[in-house]
Amino acid sequence: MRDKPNGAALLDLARRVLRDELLAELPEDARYRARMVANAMAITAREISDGSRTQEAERRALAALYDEAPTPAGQPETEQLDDALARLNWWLAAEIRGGRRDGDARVHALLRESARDRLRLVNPKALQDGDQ
Amino acid sequence: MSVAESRLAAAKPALDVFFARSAGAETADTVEARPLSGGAIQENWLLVVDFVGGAWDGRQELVLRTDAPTAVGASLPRAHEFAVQRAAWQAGVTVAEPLWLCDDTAVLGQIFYVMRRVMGEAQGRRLVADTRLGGDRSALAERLGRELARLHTITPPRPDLSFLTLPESDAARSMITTCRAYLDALGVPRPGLEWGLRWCERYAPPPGEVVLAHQDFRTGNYMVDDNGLTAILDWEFCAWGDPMSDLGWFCAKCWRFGRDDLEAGGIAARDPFYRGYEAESGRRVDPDRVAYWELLAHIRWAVIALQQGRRTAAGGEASLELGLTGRLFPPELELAVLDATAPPNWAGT
Repeated sequence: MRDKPNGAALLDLARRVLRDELLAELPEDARYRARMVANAMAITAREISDGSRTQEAERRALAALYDEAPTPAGQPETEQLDDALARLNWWLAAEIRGGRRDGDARVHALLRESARDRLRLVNPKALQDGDQ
Repeated sequence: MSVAESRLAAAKPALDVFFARSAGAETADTVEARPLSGGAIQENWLLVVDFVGGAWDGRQELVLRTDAPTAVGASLPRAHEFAVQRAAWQAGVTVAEPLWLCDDTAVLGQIFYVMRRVMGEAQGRRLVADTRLGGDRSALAERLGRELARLHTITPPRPDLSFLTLPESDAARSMITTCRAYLDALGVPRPGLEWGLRWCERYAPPPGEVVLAHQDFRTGNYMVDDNGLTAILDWEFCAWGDPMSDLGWFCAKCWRFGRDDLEAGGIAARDPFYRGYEAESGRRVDPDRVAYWELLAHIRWAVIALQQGRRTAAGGEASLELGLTGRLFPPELELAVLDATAPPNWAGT
């Protein structure tokens, strides 16, 4: 068991020092770069906190679309999460391109959810209030 | 900085010879070289050159444009960019006058061209936020409409632009094919963007006119001073295309830099922009066609951002910016595309 604070919390603390204290002391031309660094740290901290939650949710939604039985809880995965997501997304992408999912409301909802999950990680402010 | 301190130091003797010969001067002496903030694809240098003799006699400020170490294949090579910038200059578009192309890679290690220096501020966010820049904003939008109309007087065939291929089908379907090919090359499935592309394929407008389209005509790619426009920049994405595609790119919500209410590039309403375009071109702006291209603009920008996100191999500041671009923009663009193509919008053929 690791001691606290965990990696995400440390990264967040480090980012706050950079943003709230160091930024003001930097010359003007270095501030833009420092803001980029802070932004990269923020995304990484959110990714660490999220773990594989949103990716698991995406896989569940895609698997349900194709009537694949999800792996029962506690059972070891036979397929890595990344591979499963790639496989299912390729399949869906090909179906859409081939015109086999035109206007499909279920697919549209799934795609929106996936885009929103990715947006929440990189720029949560862009998600409108009450729409989270 | 002095040339000796810059990365161009080793190239100075060869550069001076090239400048003297191009300018018809007895001698040329590059006394200063400073990197200008530029794109991730090109590198721009401000050069101060002392000419002796010839039409350029005296001290001149020039901008040298060459490929950055992280260049990608999607944009035109510098020699072609030089040609389109010249064509635009000849068509009366407000652009930094392109002067000399150097295709001898022995001089700098890469092909480059040189243009006259033009002063101004281009940074999109700053321009949108600071309304003192660019003079009257309605006038600026109208002017930009006129500029675009002048560019669109350039039509195929053009022997000097023979490197630009005509779209195989119409411009919209050609853009869809290009975006799909880019997505395939990225090797990562993007069903959300595929959804948008499929909608665009199904509801593509009928083929129309073909003109020289800038393809990156937006706030952030033109310079202004306190009075107004000084130059339109970044000609490397030019291609034969639908005239309405440039208007759509300019007005697309993703290029308004936080001023969503100002639909013409975050600087003004659409009216003055369209008015300028119509007055200069004699062509009617087709709002449906522009709206269609605005949607395609979101998709194309998302694809470009994904491509940029892959170009982080060089390391350093540029790579961090590219990496962030690849992560930050696609989800929001994809969401906008999905919202514009919700199931009810698929009714009809």
